[in-house]
Amino acid sequence: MIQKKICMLGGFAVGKTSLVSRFVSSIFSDRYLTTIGVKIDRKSLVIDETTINLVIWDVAGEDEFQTVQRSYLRGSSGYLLVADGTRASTFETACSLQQKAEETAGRVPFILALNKADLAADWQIDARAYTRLADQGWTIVRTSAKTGAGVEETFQALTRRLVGR
Amino acid sequence: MADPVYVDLLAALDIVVMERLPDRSFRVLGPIPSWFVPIHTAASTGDTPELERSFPFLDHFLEEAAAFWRHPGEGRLRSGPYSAKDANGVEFHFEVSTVLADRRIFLLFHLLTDFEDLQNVLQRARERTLALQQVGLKRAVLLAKTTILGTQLESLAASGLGGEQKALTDSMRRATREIADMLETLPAQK
Repeated sequence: MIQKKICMLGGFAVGKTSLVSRFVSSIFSDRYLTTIGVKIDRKSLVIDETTINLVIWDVAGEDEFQTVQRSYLRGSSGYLLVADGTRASTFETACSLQQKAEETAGRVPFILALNKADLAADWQIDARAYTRLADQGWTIVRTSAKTGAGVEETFQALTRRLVGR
Repeated sequence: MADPVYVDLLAALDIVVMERLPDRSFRVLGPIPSWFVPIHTAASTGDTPELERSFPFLDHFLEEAAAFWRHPGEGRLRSGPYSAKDANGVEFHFEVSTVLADRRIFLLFHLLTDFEDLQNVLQRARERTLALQQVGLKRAVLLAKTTILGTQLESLAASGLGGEQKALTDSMRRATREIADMLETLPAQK
């Protein structure tokens, strides 16, 4: 059995906790409840007949009231950067957190999830911005914690990369 | 810490005290508050070899604590707020800290009884920020539309309108400028 730590990183109210709830418990709530500090959840995945125990660190969002404690990133095998597709500023926050994560955790696998894909009509993130990152090798996905779209696949994809499969 | 009265007092304050033993395990001191038991059932027996397994956060904190113990300063090392669920799915919020006293290492688990108050304050602040961001977004959209409207009215005014129509167009241009001026006073999108 393999255990891997991953962190959820992003600005506030982008849907990190909702993505974890959707992935771990298949539930979603429209109610926004801000995260303080860190919450840890676990879920096991089977990748090519190998059980991987994911320890998911849901870290409080970065804003003027709280900054991400770098120490939380220590020991991470990978991370999920989350941005809110309806708020362009959260994309920049995700990018700056990626730098912070790389400095602390090293060059470990990560995926950028552009969340709230169910609100495509209100999308604010310029496609050119993330296309440029995709050209640089970033894996970028669209997710919706509300509908579940892309959530399981994203965690599966990240986990595969963590174990080199 | 040797006096059990202090340990009982800490338990009454929803603080679990553990002492680190030479074999690196932890020994619970004094009574265990009821909130702690469902989170970590092993604590009820006073045996804590599986502490890190019950609290994955602790693994991380103990690494930092090791550095703190090697170079102790005054005060204590605190983990920051941490949320965990017990076996029934009920969420608890607490903080871990470590202190050195008389060359003995202690780990303290504090139940954050004011967590919801703090959460409410941060919640309101963030919701306000979100609302302001929405205002900024709508400001940008409306300013763009007033610019287009103003340009169209300029064109209309220059197209050779008669007296009443010109007066009406001029009135609309003034109103458009006033709307734009008012929109400029709203917070811009960040």
